[in-house]
Amino acid sequence: MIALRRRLPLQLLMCGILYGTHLESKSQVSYVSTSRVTTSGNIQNKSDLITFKEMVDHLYAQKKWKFVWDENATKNIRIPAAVMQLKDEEIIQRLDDILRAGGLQINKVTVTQYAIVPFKNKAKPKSHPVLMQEEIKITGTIRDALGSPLHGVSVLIVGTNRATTTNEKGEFEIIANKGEVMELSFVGYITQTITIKDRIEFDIAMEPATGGLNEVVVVGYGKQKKISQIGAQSTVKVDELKQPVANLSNVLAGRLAGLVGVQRSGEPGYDNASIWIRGISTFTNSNPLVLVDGVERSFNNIDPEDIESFSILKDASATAVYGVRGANGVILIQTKKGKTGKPKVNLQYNQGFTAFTKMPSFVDGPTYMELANEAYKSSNPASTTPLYSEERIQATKDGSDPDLYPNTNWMKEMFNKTGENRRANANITGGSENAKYYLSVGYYDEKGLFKVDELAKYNSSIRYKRFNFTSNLNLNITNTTKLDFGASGYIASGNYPGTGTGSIWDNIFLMTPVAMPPQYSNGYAPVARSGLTSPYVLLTQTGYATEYRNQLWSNIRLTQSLDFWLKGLSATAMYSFDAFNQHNIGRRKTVDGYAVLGRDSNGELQFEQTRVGTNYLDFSKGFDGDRQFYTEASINYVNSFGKHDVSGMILYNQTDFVNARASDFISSIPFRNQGIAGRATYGFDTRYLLEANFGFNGAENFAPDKRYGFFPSFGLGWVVSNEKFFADISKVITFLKVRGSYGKVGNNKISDSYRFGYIAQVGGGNDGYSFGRNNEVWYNGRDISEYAVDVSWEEAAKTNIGLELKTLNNDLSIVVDYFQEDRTGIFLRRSNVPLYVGLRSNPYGNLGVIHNRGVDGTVEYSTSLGKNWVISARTNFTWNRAVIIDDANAAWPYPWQQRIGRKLNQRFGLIALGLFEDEKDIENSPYQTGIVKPGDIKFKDLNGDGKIDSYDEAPIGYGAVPELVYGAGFNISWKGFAFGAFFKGVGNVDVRLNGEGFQPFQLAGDRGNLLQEVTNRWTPDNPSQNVIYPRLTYPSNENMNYNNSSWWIKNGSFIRLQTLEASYSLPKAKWFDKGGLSGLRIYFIGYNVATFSKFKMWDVELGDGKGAQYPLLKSFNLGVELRFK
Amino acid sequence: MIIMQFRNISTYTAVVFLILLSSGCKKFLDQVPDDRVTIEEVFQKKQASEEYLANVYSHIREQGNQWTVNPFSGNTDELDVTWAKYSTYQLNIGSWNPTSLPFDIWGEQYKGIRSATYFINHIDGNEEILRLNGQQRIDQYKAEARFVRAYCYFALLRQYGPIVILGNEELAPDAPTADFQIPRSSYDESVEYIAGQLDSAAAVLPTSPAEDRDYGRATKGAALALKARILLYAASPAFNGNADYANFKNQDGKSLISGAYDTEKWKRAADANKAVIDLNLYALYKHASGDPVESYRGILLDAYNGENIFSRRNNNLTDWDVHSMPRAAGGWCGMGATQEMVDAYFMKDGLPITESSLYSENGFTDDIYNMYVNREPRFYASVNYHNRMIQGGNIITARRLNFFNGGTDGRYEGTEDYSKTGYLVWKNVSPNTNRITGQWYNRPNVLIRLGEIYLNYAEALNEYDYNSNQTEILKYINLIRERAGIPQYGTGPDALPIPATQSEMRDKIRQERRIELAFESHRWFDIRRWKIARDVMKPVHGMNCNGKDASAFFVRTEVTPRQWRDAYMFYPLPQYEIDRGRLLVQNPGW
Repeated sequence: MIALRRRLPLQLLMCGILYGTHLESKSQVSYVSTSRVTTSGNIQNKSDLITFKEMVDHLYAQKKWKFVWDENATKNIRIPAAVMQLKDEEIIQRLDDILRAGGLQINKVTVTQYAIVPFKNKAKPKSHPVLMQEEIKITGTIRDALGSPLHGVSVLIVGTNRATTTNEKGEFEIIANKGEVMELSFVGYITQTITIKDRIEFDIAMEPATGGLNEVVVVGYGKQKKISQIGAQSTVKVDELKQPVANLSNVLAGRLAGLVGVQRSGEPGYDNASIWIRGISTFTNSNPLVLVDGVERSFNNIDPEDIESFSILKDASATAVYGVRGANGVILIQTKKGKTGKPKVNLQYNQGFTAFTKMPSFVDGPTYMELANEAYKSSNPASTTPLYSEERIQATKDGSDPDLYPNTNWMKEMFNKTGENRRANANITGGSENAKYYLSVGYYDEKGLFKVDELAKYNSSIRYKRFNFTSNLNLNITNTTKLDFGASGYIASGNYPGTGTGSIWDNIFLMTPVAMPPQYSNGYAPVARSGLTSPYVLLTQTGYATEYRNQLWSNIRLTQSLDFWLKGLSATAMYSFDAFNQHNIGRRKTVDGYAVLGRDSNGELQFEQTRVGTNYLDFSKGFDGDRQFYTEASINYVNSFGKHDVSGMILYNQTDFVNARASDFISSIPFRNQGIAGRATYGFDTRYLLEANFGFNGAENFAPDKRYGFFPSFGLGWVVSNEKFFADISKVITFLKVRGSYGKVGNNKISDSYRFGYIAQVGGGNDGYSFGRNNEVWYNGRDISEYAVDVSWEEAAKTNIGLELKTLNNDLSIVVDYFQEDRTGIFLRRSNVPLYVGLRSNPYGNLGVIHNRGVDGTVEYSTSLGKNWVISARTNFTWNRAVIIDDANAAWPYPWQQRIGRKLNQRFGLIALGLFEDEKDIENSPYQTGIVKPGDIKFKDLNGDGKIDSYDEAPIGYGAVPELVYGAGFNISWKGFAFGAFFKGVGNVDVRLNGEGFQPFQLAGDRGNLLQEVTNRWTPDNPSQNVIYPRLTYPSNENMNYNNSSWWIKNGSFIRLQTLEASYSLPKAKWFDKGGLSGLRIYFIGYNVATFSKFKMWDVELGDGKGAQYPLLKSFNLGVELRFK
Repeated sequence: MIIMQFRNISTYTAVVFLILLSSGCKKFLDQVPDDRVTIEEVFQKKQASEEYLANVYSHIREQGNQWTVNPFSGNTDELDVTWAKYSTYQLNIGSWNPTSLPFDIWGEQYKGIRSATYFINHIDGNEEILRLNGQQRIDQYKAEARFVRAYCYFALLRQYGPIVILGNEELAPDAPTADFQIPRSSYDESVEYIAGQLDSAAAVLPTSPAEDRDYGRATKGAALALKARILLYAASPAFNGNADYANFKNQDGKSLISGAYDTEKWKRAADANKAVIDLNLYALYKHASGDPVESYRGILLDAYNGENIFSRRNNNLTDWDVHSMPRAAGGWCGMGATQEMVDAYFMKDGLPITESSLYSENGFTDDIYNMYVNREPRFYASVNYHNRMIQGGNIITARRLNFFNGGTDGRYEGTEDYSKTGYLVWKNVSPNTNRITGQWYNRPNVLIRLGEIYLNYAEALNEYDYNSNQTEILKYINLIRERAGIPQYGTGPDALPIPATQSEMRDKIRQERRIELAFESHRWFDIRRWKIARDVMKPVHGMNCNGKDASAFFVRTEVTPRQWRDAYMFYPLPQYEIDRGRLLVQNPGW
């Protein structure tokens, strides 16, 4: 026993320096580096070990503590630098623990004076002599989070002098009494305590301290130590995801380096953002593979409270194991697992109100009519009659007879100023070493901003409610067998007006302010002869639709350690079953429609009935649903031999996904994939890292001999800061790693509509035809619809070079990655076939090639100022540009029209030179079709043929998807107060304006609202070039003004203050205990608080068009969080 | 040593996995069932094959929709489609080019051609048809497909000029691009090919439908009539001795439109038309009442009457009804006959307004503007004008139309649904269609009728040799006029003098044709082949739709532009096609 105790400090020391690699001989003690404490007493590296003297210097410098101690007796003692960050009492406690292991103990003299003296067991005899007699021998194995045995973990029975450390196999043996507490501690890991009951054999995993070098990250099909990780991946702090939004996808852009996202709608239940990893690199499906707890699942409806970790895998080294599924990057989400200990309950509730970030606004009735007259006059100079008479405009202004002369502000009629949302979550976690649990229930409720007709006999409000539940159980069945079980899901219900919100928005943009009132004064529903219906009627009098979705995810995993066969070997198998169901029930109707004709001699309104309504609610239903089976089995190996760290993994998996409510033959066929994945890693001395991955898998949608592909990747890493020569620099740069990877990944989701490229399909052809004297014979058409071709997956060759760096005492960390990707064999229709060949549809092929490149990175800074201040800041960015190398298309006639060599989704259009100044300007310019007058847009004649046409269309602007996405946030905390903000921004993006409602008087005079911006236009009196609209015409397509041109491309970049958070955690008070409380926090979250953009017409993130989408929401929430012991 | 062990184990595992994968699991991905419908099976079954043939037929374009499907009336001087939102407006202001090409049918017609060829090449040996109907039915179906293919080629030829002829084999979809390169054939070659195909179809096709259920299928008469029209076009000035196209050549120098005049082309055209007449299967439609207005309206409204040579059974004519009907009748009120067309109609004495003493633009008779009084029956059958009594659609009891500004059918604040010419087309508009009550009068869309053949024949004969064929020419012109209820040339009551010269006769024939075939999608092609488009395509006129009273309304007013450039003679080939068919040359001027 004594010998063991003597060795202890040495063990601690050795393991500490080498960060988990293990010494073969004790002679390598010389690796201990010298002072890591500067003269000012600052510690450079928090995860290092310091000598006792260094500690004393530090504590004196920082806290003016004085020590009396024997230098000889303590010379072998090393103390984790991290201990210095603890609270005062804890420092003393930890020091005492460490010293006791070396036969010493700490005695407090005064608050600032301490003495180190030889250890004397002062523990009084336990008051339970019975227990004393139940002395048992405990054995166990301690592993790190990867399952690798930990050598040198200190095992201590609290309050006794019984202590030991684990051997090379991670094993220990110790004598304890029932009821005593065993404490396990190791540098870089969270100290664990276990109360001894009946069990005498333990298999314990140590949890690494966050930020330390033992930190473990989730990678494809497993975990890795962060330090030895070569693949490019980013993670986000889970706390950042806890925003008052229903859909997790909305908060991701700007928070993870490498993730590009845009949100195009704020409609409750339909507001998911589109997300791409490192941009879009293909013409086909570019959605990343999303895995929740290892199974392909959608994450939109997960309660962020239940997420343990969220990371994205970006390069080939990280994604090759997914083979044919991984080319678009992978999102890995792990849900929370139980933690050993007494049950801990956490309750949260927040409630807030929502409002639109930005609403488009329209001109009022009189302005509308004056503008219409102006446009009409401009197009019909000879006409003596204005479009709208003076009297009518006057009557509209007066508002004297809104039935005949309406002046409707549709936005005001349709929308409330605010909506509501609230979120609640309760979770509980706890358990023993052998059984841990995490249970959670969440609730989200959002009420939209549409108005409701109070008189209607049904509820047509827009509302989305969701209940989530998650449960995770982790059981140790035997000493070597573990069972994990998880079940989670949600139930969501939505209520919507009978007319789809898209259609309602569209109608608002179509309806002029003078066309009709929301409702006639006698309650009649206004419907124009053309069928155009009052949007207010569509909203409130067309019934309602309910939507119900539920989802169940379940997974069970069995892990068997095979240490008895080969140390470090284990096998695991998993099965999961997921099911999703949705049904929509519509109870819709149309009401009788009327158009007002005028007033009769008695002043009574005269109506023409324009529509016969159904008037009573009708019924319709729709279903959707799917189910998925997933099976996985793998063998894992992880071990260390001296300086050599080795791991290996080989895994089989298969997925079977069935669209349970498929609407056609092709989509009813199960979606399946199957394959094996493997990984081998080798690390030498935590300096040189080597990794090889592969995926060999296939999918059901290719021809039998083309189903399986092999996707290998290789990676190299070099931890420069662990080199001897770096020792001096390491005072400044505490950590430096460079890594590079290259590999291939595939994408089998090449087409949603045309899954089986290798099979010809027969369809309806062009159309049917009828014969017969009395039209009696109708034949449906029939023809080949798709030709069979030999197709396969598309392939991405990805290169990644990354650099990780920490400096300023580890306060500042920087990760930057450069990447490039060649996506080849992109599934495209062959577009170089002349039309006269007469193909019903152009055959597909693996034809496209896209080259994508870019940079992404993260910079984090975190520091403590004095005792109470903690400041942290974080920023990250992504820039990428994908360029088309081959699009299987014929060459365009002119070089400026070529798509090859240009950005993917590059916009093309005419180049606007400005507005024509006068007739002479028009005469001297190339011919433009239509009626051209001063104030019309003047275009550039690129091919010099004297006329403006499509041959003059050249690249304009960037595109609808930003090339640059960035985010920056900071958090400041002082005692219990915390304040934080997060900005998200995008750049190299633009908005193209078009569409009816944006374009004035496009189709007909009774259609098409006018945006407020129309007032900023060219007129003969205001012949300015600096306007939004050119000369107004009636109709607006009488010339080329509204052709696709650079005039209508506006800068779409913006910076959004996405979150603003403030919270206060109450200091512990006595009444906490009464209620069993351990913590209470109140907080405020502002979401989408402010947006800064040059673009003002609507919420710029909605993108192209006329802004006729349900806008994004801002919300302000107040919440409270209660933690119970 | 341990590494070795690890390697052994992983190799072992890998082997196990591979065995799993390659044996039983291989089936895991075999998901597509074998007994789906394949194209081979389509041709084993009767119903499926007939459906395939129906798909071939569906490429015959209907002519009911004159605003988004056919511009052949709306882009001429006979019709103004009032809405600027429709692409006819784009053509009328000259806003079209090879990359922005409304009414482009190039690719769509070639799909029909491919499907027809595929049908002809695969239908042989269809066991079910053989068993039920015998080889004869298969031959008939093949001939029908051949007819439709020729029809598609013709549709391309008249709109785009010289075509790409593909022959009897379809090209493999996965062939190298080089194999797809085919140059255009010359205009004459195209005509020869199509005419030859129609001859071989006519040789097999039945003379008339065997059963009621076969109405609408191609017949011998349809094939011969189409051939007759093609040969007439080919003999016309634009394609017969037109020097304008001397430089219109393929890349290899081959001339695409011959500049040589050949009078025998007229002879051939005349013979081909006569051959249709000589079938003696068809007769001009006359209403039982003998009322010429009813007779003329019945040609297109009375289904499968004896004048009908070929028609399309399913079509958009009820949509045409709705678009043409006055607002008061529940229509969209937007198919405006032009003043030019109104002026073209004869007076009831059979003379043009410029020659007739009956014509007046002053005053009113029974509230009707005198311009519309004493006109020929075809005018009343074809055009609606201010104050006309009308019944139809949702007008249950006859009432007067009001095209004044603010009137029930005129311009009205807040709607675009009014005719800018102050007229509406009434020809081929069925009063039995009522949008408000959802009543639709479906009828075949007549694509070729005997009246046209008579006019073709007369025109060809006149151009071939007026003097020796005068009697024959007058016979057929007079048959048309007789049915129209107007005096004939040199015969019958109130006979008009016989045109003295070929040129005079030409004018008479052309005006007769313009009136008789108005709004039937002929005008667009006629003004081109006669080479008169430059004069015709000028801004069209109407009455002043802004006028609130008679004095303001009854004023000839320019309504919408009609652009003309020589390039408009043909549609351009789509730029898409020029970029891919590398042997193709673009049409002149584009």
